[in-house]
Amino acid sequence: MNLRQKLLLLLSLLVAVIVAAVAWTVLLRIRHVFEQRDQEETALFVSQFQREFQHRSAEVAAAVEHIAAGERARNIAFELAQSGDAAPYLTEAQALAQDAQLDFLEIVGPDGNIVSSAQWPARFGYPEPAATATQSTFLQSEDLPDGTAALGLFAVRAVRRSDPGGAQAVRIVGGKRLDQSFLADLPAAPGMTISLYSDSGPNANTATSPQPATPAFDPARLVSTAGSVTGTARYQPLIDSARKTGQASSGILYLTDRREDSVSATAIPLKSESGSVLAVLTVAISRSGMVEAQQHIRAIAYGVAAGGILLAILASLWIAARVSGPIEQLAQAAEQVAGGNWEARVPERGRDEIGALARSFNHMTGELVAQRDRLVQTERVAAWRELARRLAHELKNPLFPLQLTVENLMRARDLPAAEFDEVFRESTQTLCMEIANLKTIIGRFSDFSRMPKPQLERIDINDALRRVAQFYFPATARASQATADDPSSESKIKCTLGVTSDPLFIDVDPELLHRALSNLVLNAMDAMPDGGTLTLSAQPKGETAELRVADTGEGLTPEECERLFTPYYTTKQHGTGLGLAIVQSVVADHHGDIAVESRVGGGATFVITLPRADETAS
Amino acid sequence: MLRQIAISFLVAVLLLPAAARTRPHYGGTLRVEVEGDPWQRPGGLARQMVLDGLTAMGTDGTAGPALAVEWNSDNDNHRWQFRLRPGVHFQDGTPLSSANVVASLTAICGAGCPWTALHAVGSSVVFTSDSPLPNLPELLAGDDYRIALAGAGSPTGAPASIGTGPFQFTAFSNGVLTLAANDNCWQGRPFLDEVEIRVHRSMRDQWLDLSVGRADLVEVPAEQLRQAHEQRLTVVASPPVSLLAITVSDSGALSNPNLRAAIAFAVDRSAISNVIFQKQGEITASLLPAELTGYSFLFSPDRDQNKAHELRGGVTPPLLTLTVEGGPAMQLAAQRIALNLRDAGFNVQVASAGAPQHVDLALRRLTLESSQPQPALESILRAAGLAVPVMEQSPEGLYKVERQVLDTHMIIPLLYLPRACAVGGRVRDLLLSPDGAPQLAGVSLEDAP
Amino acid sequence: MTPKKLFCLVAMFASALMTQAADTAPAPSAWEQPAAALAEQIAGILGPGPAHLTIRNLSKISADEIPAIRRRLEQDLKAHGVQASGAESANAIRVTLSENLRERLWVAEIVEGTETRVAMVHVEPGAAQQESSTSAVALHRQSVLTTRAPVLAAVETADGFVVVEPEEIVIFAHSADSWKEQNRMGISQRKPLARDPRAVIFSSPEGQGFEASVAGMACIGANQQAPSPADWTVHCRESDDPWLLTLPQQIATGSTPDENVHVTPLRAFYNSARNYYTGVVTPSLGVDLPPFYTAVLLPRPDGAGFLINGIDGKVQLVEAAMLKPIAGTRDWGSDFASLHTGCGAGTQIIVSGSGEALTDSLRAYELPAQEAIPASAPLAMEGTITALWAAPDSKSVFAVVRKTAGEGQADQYEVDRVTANCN
Repeated sequence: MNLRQKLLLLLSLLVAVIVAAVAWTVLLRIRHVFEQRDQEETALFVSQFQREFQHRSAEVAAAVEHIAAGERARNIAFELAQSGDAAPYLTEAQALAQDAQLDFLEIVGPDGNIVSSAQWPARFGYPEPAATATQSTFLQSEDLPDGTAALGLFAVRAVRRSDPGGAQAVRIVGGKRLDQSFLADLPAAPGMTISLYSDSGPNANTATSPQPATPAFDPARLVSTAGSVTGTARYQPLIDSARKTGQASSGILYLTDRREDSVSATAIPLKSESGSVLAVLTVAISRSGMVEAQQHIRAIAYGVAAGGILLAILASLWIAARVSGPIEQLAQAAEQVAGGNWEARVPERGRDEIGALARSFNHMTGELVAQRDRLVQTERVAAWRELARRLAHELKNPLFPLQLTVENLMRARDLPAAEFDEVFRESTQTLCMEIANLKTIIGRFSDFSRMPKPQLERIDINDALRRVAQFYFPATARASQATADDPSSESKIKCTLGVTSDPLFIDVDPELLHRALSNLVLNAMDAMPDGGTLTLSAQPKGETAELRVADTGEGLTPEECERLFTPYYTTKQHGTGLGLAIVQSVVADHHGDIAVESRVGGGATFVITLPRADETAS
Repeated sequence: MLRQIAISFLVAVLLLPAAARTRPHYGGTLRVEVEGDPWQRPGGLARQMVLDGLTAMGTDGTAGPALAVEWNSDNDNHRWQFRLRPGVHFQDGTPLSSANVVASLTAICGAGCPWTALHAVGSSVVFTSDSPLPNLPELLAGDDYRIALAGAGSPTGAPASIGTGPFQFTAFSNGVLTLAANDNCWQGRPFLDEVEIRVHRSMRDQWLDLSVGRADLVEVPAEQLRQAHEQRLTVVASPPVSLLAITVSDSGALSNPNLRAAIAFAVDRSAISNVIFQKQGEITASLLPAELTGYSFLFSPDRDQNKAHELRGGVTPPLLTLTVEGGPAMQLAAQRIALNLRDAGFNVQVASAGAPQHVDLALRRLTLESSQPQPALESILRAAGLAVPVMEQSPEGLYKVERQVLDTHMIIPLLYLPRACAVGGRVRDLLLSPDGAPQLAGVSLEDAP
Repeated sequence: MTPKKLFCLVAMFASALMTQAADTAPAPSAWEQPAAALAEQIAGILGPGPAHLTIRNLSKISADEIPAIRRRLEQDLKAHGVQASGAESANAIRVTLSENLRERLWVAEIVEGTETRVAMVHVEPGAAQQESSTSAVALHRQSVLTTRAPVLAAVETADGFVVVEPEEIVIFAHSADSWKEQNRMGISQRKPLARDPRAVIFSSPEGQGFEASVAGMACIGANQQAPSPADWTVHCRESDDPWLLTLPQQIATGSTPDENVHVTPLRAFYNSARNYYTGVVTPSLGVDLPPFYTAVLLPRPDGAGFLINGIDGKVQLVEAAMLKPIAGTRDWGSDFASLHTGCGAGTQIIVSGSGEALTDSLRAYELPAQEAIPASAPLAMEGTITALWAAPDSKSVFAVVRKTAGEGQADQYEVDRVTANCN
């Protein structure tokens, strides 16, 4: 990942994190605010509900009181006390209920039995437990003829007999339904849904089997001002909790799969006089506002984040242009320098650190070039010095015998002719030999300076190794043991050939390769004056072929390894020091590599890596 | 019981207009209001004014001559021959013939007639049956077998409405059925010129119209008799001639006779009689009232919840349907019965009659059409859709039949109720027929010109 | 009084006695047969042995007779080996004395363990029909004569029976045991008769003549040369004179003849175009009367009262120059007449029944105050009463009954004499 990408990522992350943090904070805050508002609204509604409930209770009580105090009721009570005959009043309750606009009305006689019932006329004569209620008004579930029950707010008042000294004889039990119309009268805030769940179990008087303490939840019994309620089944846990515990319970309900349809609901149990829960009033405040706000904020956050990221991209691009570009340039230039192109330069812009860095880089490369030049010059000088020294050394060796010989000749001039002839003969022989040696040395140098371009041919590297081995170890070529007629002067050196079973083709100049291998073999033989083992092997290494020339001689020090391929560097007493340079040159001309693995006393292994021939191209 | 009859009669008599009978005046239009359909069978007012039967029930409970002047039976009451009254014409002038009578009776009951065959023989009509029909004359006096000119439809869509009675159909518009006096009626022209029957009028509106003089004769349901007296209406009431009973299906859930018996024990007749019908009824557990038989006390009307539970035996039958037709009192009675049955462990739902469903229980009113016990029992059983067994003419035989029928618990008598109507000040000489229906043919109006 | 008349009166009295005898409550021995029959049935079901016997009465048998019935039953049961007593026993016999419209019915429920069987005995209708023992009088009727023509009024004279028909006056003479038409004289009506024609006729004090009024005509008849009925002469003329309502008579207001009140004859103007009296009577009674159909004189504690049946349907009594409404007249028919029986209050009002039934009835009422109290059971007639008036001696009333005839026959009109005897 480059700096630009890192910058981009970093800036984007930064922007995203900041935006996310801000958005999350805002969302939390909004949620908190909305929830607080919901709680306040719910609390307000509950207090208003209680007021409305009391108001309705008062209305019912007043209506029932009015009926009980009315002349008709008093006459009924009087006549009932006189005659005990309740039959004439069978339909009284219906008329009274209609006049008073009550949904329920029963006239209950002194014996506690119903005289007349508006909501269930056929129940005359049955006992009415509500007639003995102690509270002024109370909730009650009233059984109806169709087997259902309806929730109502009831009041009970006693009727005083119309005779002056009469005692209370007859009771009026009246009530109004708590149903949708009651809910409609409640002051619901916008977005608030008021629902009522009532347990309308079967008629308790005629139940043929024991009823469970808390009947199963029935979604159909939950009604609101609009009639049915959306997602009634979702209310079940809340309502069941309120029914079981008798306490209000709250929670968030998801009425559909959409978050906008979630509500903040509170279930308030409505209890009878005995404390049993008859109904549950649910207040559900829509969270759509909050959700929408949250979604709005999220959208804004996303937008801001996207914008921020875009800005970050632009910023990063700008920064990259201003910072990472020069840095990349610097990096590229550094790579170039590392690759050997010390001429690499970077533009110098600005006066900031990047500019200073660029200038420093340029300065550095310039210095490097200069130093390289100087080094090259120095090395060249050193190499020339070395070459001169080697040349002087090499030349001096044959030149000294030449000099001696000439001197001998000069001195032999004074000698008798016969001695002079012999001396002349030996001296001329020596002169010729030394002149040949000089010519050889000069020929080496000349060869090194005029290394030919390789003429590539595809050969099996195994054949090259065999050729070299056969050249220097014929016996080895035929067999694997060194024999006395090994042409090598060190007849104790054993040559081992490790070739592959399959051909290993490379594109090389066979002669050059032979020459390089020969140099290596010679050096290896020179390194084992007391004998040893010389191993020639080749193996494929991926797309390259690896040639190994290993000896078991003295080994090389690390320093020697470093300078080994320097022309004219040699560890031998004699030699031009060009052998390994030639090897390196040949390997380099073939786009290969040469390395040495050695340790002191552990021999040395020269490893030549050459690219394998592209067999598909052949 | 006789005392009750006398009292009823006396009550009826005392409630007549507070004046001695003046000589009848001819003319005038009698305005009648009814809640139901005056053409309905049985007991429709218009039917009784427009149509006659072969026989008519006398005040002594025996069948007297009407369109038939005499009759005889042979072959142990398997064959009856009725000789028609000569000189009688339908209201459109068609002479009454045996063929017309046969056609009319065949149209009435078709294959469901009590007789097997019916033939016109000269001026006589001959009935033959596989089982003896000892009370055929009384049966033919019933409202179901009035003779109409077959094929003569009515503009109102009502059944055939051309008969031989004292009144004839003239018009029906705006809910008012107009019947005009039949000048050629074989019984003599009625005193009234016209009778206007306003149909489907609520009870409240009927009484209101009566009180302001817009109506001359209105209905008074049994449960409102006391109220009518309190409002000082002039009421004419019959003895208890209408039997309130529950008919019980013997199929489905109630094929078990123990369940039917449990139902019989579960019903609280006292509450229905004393409260719903305001003590105007007589509680009964027998099909015939005491004044007809003298042994109705042998059938106990007491409620026994324990027995009901015992007979139900812990079985909880499926939901039973109790159908009812009639006014608010009938509906309330049905509701009360449903409540009683629920107390006994039955699950009952009240529905209006006519709903297309299997009927388990039906609350019905069956009318006594004769004051003779055997014909009366026969008419009750036929009206209830029960088989009519051969019955002896003795009280013991009658008791056996009644006991046998009631032990099946397919009919549960509850109470007997009177039929009544209220009349305005100008109505004279209103009598009630044995089944409690007002006999308008003999009515005259006080202020008729 | 001629022997024939005496014979008739005796015959009537005898028949009245016989009827009364038939109508009285049966003697306790009448329960023997039903008790024996019931005991036999019970014994046949239960068999010999002890049993707990209870009796309840749901009929009109008086409570005084129940112990006797019980004793009878116990005796009969014992004769069959059933020891019936009041002691508790595993076997129980519940006897219910019931009745229906036509007869009495005695029902026994025999309880053996958990099984109950029923036995019934019905008692003959003759023994069951029991008139109210509270009736003061019992009415009886006797047919006098039957004609085919409508009879508007009739009177018995010394020599015959004079019948007023709508257009003729017919004289009947007694022949053997019936009346035979002797003479028929036209009234010569010039105006068409109104619907529901009416007439009145009174015999002259000596019984040799009569005075009749019919629809705008007044007729005087006389038998000039008795005893031949052919010598009757009738003179009719158009007349608007008031009709004679009552003859001069003594009204008994107390228990002694000294308390009798002499009443002058009353006449009332009749609307011949209609069928009622206009309300103008002479001599005046001191109060304006409404138009009325019928009127009779009644003895009252303070003198005579004049009872009228107004065309508005109200029955009122003119007493002490005041018009007082009479209650309890709802079932009164269109006609009434007074009858002096000497039973109860002494004088009763015989009233025709209300309704247009095929048969009418007559019933006696008393007016102790301003309420009509039934004093007899209804006496069924064989047709519709079209006219009713008191005989001159007020000891009987005559009723004209229209009898609907059978097929192809015209109606017949029967003149019945109705008398009463004390219960």
